[in-house]
Amino acid sequence: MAEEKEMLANLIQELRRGTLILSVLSQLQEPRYGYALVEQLEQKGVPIDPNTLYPLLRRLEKQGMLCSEWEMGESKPRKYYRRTVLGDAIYRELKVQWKRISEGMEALLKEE
Amino acid sequence: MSEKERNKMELKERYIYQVIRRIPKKQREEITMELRELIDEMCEHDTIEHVLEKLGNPEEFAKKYRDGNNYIIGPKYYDDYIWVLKIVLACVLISGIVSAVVSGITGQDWSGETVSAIVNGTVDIIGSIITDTLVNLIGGGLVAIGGITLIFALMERQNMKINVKQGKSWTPEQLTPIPDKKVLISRSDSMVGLVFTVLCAGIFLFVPELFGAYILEDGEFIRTIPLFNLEKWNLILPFLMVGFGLCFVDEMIRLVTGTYSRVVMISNIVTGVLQSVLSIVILKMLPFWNENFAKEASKAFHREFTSKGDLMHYWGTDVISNVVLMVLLAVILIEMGVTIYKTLRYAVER
Repeated sequence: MAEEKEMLANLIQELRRGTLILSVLSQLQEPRYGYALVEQLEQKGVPIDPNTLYPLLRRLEKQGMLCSEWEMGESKPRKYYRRTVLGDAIYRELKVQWKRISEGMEALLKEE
Repeated sequence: MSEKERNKMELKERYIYQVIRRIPKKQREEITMELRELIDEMCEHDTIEHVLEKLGNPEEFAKKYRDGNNYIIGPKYYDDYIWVLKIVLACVLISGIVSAVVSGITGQDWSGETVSAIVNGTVDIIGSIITDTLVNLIGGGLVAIGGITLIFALMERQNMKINVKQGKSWTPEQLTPIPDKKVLISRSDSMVGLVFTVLCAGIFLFVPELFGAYILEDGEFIRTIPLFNLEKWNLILPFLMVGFGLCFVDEMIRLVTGTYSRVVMISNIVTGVLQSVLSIVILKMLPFWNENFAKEASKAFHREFTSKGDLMHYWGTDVISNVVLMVLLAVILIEMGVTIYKTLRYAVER
C-alpha cells in the first residue's frame, strides 16, 4: 500500500514536471521576485515548491529565457525576474504546444 | 534582539550554509542572498522550523541548484571501471607481496650460523616483509586507483562530446551491423593482457634483480647475478614504464570497446610504433644489459664460456640485443597485423 502511494506520488510529480517551465514563464511578463511567484502560483492552483522554483529560475536565466535584477531599495533585497525576448518567443511556442497536448489529452480521456 | 529572533537567525544561516557549501563557489554569494530573501519571506507567515521543514533537506535543495553531471564516471563506464579496478588492485596486491617477500629474503644477511641468529633473522625478515608489503600496497594501490580513475574520467568526458555530436543528426544508416563473433575481443584475453602487463611492470619496478642467474649454495639461495644493468636502472626504468603504460592503455581500450574497431586499430598501431621505438632505444642506445653478467656467472659457476655453441660467449656483443629486439618487433608486428586484418576484414564500419 505504501509502495503504491509512493509510486503514485512519483507519477504525479513526473506529470507536473513537464508543466513547470510553462507555468513559470507565463507569470513573468512583469518582473516578480521569487517568493511572490510562489504565492501567486499557489493562489492560482498550480503550486510549486520553493526548492524547485528557485533553482529553476536560475537555470532559465542561464539559458537566456529570463533576466533578473536585484532591488535593494526596500529593507530586504529582492531578486526580480522577468521574461526576455527569447523567453517571450519560447513562451508563445510552448503555449501553442500545450494547447495541442491538452486538447489531445482531453479527447483521449473522454473516450471512457 | 530577542532570544527567539536570534534562534531564528541562527537556524536560517545554518540552513543556508548547508546548501551553499554544496554548490560551486562562484554562485554561492548570490544564492545566499536568494535564500535569505526566500526564508525571511516565508517566515512572515510561519515559524522558522516549519519553513525549513517545508524547504526540506538542504542536500536535496543544493542538488537542484547544481546542474550538469556531478560524477566522474557515469553509468555507461561504471561496470568496466569497477572491473578493471578490481583486476589491477589484485595485481598490485600480488606483485606487492611477491616483491616484498623476494627483497626481504635476498636483502637478509644469512652469515650468522647460530640458531638464535637464524631465528632473529627470520623475525627480521617477516617484519620487513610486512612493512614492505604495506608500503608497496599503499603506494601501488594509490597510483593504480588514481591512474585508472583518470583514464576513465577522460573517456567519460570524451564520450560525452561524441554523444552530443551524434545526438544531433542520428539516422538509421548509422546502425552498424551486429558484430561478427570473430570481431569480439574476449574479456578474458584482455584480462590476461592487463594482469601480465601489471605484473611485469611491478617486477621491473620493484625487483628487477629477479631476472638473473640464481646462485645457490648447498641448496640455499644466496643472491642473483642480475641480467640487467641495475647501476643505470634509474635511467632505464622510465622508458620501460612508459612502454608498459602504453601497453596498459591499449589493453584498456580493447577491454572497454569489446570489439575490433577503428579506435582499437588506431590505438594498436600507435602503441605498436611507440613500443618499437622504445625497444630500439632501450636495447640499442641505453646501457640495458649488465655487462659483467657473463664474467660474474663464469666465476660463480666455475665455467668458461668459450665455445661458440655457448650463449654466454656472445654476452657483451650486439648479438643478444639484436635477437631480443627481433623477437620483440616480430611480436609487435604480428599483433598489429592481426588487429588490422580483423578490423578491416570483419569490423564493417562507416
